[in-house]
Amino acid sequence: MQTQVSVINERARISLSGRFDFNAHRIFKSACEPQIRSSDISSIEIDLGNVEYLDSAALGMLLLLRDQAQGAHKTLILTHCQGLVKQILDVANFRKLFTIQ
Amino acid sequence: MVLTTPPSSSPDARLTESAGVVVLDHDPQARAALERLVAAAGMRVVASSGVDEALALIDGGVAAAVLCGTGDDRVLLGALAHRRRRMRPAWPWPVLAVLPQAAGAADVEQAFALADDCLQMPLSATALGARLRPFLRMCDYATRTQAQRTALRRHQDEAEAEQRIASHLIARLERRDAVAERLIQAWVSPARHVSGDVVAVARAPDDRIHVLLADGTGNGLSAAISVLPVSEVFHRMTDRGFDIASIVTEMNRKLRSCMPVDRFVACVAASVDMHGHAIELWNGGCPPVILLGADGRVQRVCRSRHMALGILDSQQFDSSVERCDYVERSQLMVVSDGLSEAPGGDGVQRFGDRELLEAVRGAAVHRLGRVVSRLYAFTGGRALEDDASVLLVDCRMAPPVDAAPMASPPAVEAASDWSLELRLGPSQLRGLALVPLVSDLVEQLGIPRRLRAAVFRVLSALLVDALDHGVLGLDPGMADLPGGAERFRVERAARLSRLDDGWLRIRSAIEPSSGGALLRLECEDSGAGVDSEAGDSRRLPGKEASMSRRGRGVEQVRSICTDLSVDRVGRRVVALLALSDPGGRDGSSA
Repeated sequence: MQTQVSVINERARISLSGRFDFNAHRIFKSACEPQIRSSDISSIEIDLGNVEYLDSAALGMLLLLRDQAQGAHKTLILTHCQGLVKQILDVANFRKLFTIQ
Repeated sequence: MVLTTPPSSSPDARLTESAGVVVLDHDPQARAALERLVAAAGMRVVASSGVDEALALIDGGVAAAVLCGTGDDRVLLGALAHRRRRMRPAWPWPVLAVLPQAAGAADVEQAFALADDCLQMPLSATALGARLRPFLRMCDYATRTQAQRTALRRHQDEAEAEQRIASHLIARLERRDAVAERLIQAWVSPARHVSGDVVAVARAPDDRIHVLLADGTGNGLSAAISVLPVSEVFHRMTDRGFDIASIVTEMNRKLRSCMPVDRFVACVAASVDMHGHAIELWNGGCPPVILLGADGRVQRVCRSRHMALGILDSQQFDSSVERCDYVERSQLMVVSDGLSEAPGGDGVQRFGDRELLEAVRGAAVHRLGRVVSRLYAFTGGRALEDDASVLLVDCRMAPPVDAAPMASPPAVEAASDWSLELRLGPSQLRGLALVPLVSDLVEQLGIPRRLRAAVFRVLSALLVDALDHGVLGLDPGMADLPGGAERFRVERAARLSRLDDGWLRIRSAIEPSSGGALLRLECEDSGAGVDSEAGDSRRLPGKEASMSRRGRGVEQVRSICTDLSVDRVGRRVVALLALSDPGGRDGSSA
């Protein structure tokens, strides 16, 4: 998986591409942690538009990020969920916990 | 696994810190001169009195190379070379010979036969450093590689030991119930040595069959650890007669309390009631559960309506179950996402519902085999990326009886004079789980195993009915209305939490009769009852006025009782069950 981070007006957008699974743990963490720590960021967007697949370990990473974002008083949204990624998030009922656009 | 690397610094600085150089020479003055040269070259000098100590320092990792002055003879160098050959060192630590200025070509050639490199006096610190560093760097790499190899081997040993322990624990939790297992077919394919998918089946005291498919986050050992508490709760609470909603609530509480935030367990837990031909099902985060007809066509689809276990706290957790009736020769199919999301040979297409439903169409026989064959054909035989499992449950019209002939139940003495009476007030009713209470009572009363299911069903029906419709005053018709089951559940929980008045009394005793001993079960509550003079608008056709206040549960167990009666005001129900099985009626089927 690859990540790309851009910041516009206090919102950090982390765009992911490729397979979002257990092997992406380190790269996902290194993309997210600076945004969680930064006092200039109030909102984090995880753009899943170019993610081909995500497994349960990836769902776990999103839960952990949500927990950290809440602790840092930042909002977290998941965007551009489509196809298989949308199906997986639907089965997991992540809409009950996450703002999904 | 964490493989540590040395702190970053310049390579030369690291060499001087990690790799000392032993200097040997018969002549103390010559040795001191060499030591000064080594120090001037920026390397650490390790003092040594002779060959034995030099070798010990190398063996202990204190030094990584030997600089050996030859002087007028090569005795020292020869002894060193001989001992090194016998040592079979773990890494190729070098010996460098330092020859006198007068040494000729033959001396150099002989020294090369004993050492890895030769230097000739006079020698500058720069030249010495340039010759030693490649050897020391090689030794440094060799040392680190060896350390990593050792760490990897240790990690591998630890992983294998952990997997053995996990497999042992999982196997211990997989309790076997021959009757329940006859009703299921399951296939579990681990992506690694240990599966994070667990399939379990257990029989409740009232013959309901409980099935579980639990899928821990990820796969392998960490996933298997996540599902261990789930499996344990499933068996323990099923044994005691808890319903699916209570079981998943406890599973969630336990996981939430002991697992990290990013660990959860997708789960399907279902109860198949073969007396009432109904299924109760909870699906949190698993692919749709499908009820199949005899021909393999879809009768009902139960999609995931909940989040997986271990994510939400007890306040947010929703234990509501989906209910459906089934007809003869139906089969319930549960799969994990490792199956439905298995990639095809092209790496893009997923197995999905379409392939699965094609595979199950047709007769139930060999259905599981057809699913597995189709999966392998779809994936092109490639190894699965995730743990995958399939569970098929036969939904029969009557629970199977134990295949093994039961020993004759111990004769229950008609003259047994035991009796028990239990009165539960509001605080007990609010906090006590009635169903396991019943289960424990039945266990302790010494009722023969084959009659326990019937006794459990009757006693739990009487208790639940008395609490819900008597003490709590819930309308038995509410649950039958569209959306009524959920409203009933919510209202019941609300009234129970507010309960500060009311009671429920249970009496039980053995009664002699001409046909053999009877077990008398009596349940009385403090509810309003019904006005039998005025009748009741909810009166059921053909039933006594007092029965109109009763829920479906009491009616369902009437057929397994020798007699069941309700007093005129509908507050006291008495059930009689034959214990001595005079006419072959053992209460194991309705």
